[in-house]
Amino acid sequence: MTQQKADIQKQAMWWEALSAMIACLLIIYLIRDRFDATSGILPDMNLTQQLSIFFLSMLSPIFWVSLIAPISYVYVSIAALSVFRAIGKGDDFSPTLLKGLEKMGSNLLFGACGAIFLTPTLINWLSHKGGIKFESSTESFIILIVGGALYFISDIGKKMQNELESFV
Amino acid sequence: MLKQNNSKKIAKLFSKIATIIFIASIFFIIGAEINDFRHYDHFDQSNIIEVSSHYIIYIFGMWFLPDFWILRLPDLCYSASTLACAIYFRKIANGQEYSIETANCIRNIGVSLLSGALSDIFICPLIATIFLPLKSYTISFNAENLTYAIIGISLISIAFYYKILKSEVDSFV
Repeated sequence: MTQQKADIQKQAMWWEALSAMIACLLIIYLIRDRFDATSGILPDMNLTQQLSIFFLSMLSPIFWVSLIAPISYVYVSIAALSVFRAIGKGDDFSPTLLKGLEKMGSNLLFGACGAIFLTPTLINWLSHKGGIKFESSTESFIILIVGGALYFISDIGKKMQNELESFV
Repeated sequence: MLKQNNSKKIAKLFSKIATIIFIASIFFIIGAEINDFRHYDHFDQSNIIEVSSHYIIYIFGMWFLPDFWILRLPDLCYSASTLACAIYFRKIANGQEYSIETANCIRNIGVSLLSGALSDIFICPLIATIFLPLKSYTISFNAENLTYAIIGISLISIAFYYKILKSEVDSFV
């Protein structure tokens, strides 16, 4: 068991680096997607014009509303960083690890709710249409369920940690 | 921290939601060709028996193609993760919070998410290159499958730590 624990601590370093890379990639994707959404509005635009339209679109609240879910997912990978760092240090269910798990869970839940309900409804309201809108996709629901599972794991981890401390 | 009773109630609710999502996702995967079939207009649309019999033959015919299942491998893995989540929530609702089976459930969620992400990134493009007339092999990663991969890895490692902590608690008892 101790050998396995040492192995997983070594691997956690690589996973931490991987999750840092993924967090950076997600941020790059986020910017690229937003840029792609605005750059194709008019044909034959040069880079300066594309950039100016991109920055102008930032003035619209719809731009920021549509970022709710992707930003939550970026936070998930940032929270995963702290989880892997805690594992790498060898802290069994330390407060840092549990907080990281809780953050991962809550951000996944929030991101899924954002994708399913918040963003479509707010975009509807901002377009003066009113009402409540749901945009359901299997991926969003899976993320919602996995987020709930992570939240529960952190909760059980806290209880286990308390139990362990009461023994000590 | 959630109270014991509240957490059981919420877990029971989540278990039901996860089961519904699992069933719905399986229907989505199997019936993915329904929209394509609707575009076929060379059947007599007024004849319900003819249309439905052709429809059933079409769907079953698609199931026998290897690329139908291989290209749906990520979706199947993600669906398996929802089933694992449903089992996990049911175990919590039954009060088996600290059991080794719960740790195994967490590991199963992680493994299915990671395998779904890896098949989405590496295997599906490879199979598509072999079976479909595509010339080059491209690794297709996007924000979603990368997030799934990270969550999967973290869940597998958490399951391992869960087991270690459980054995420590047992040794005290």
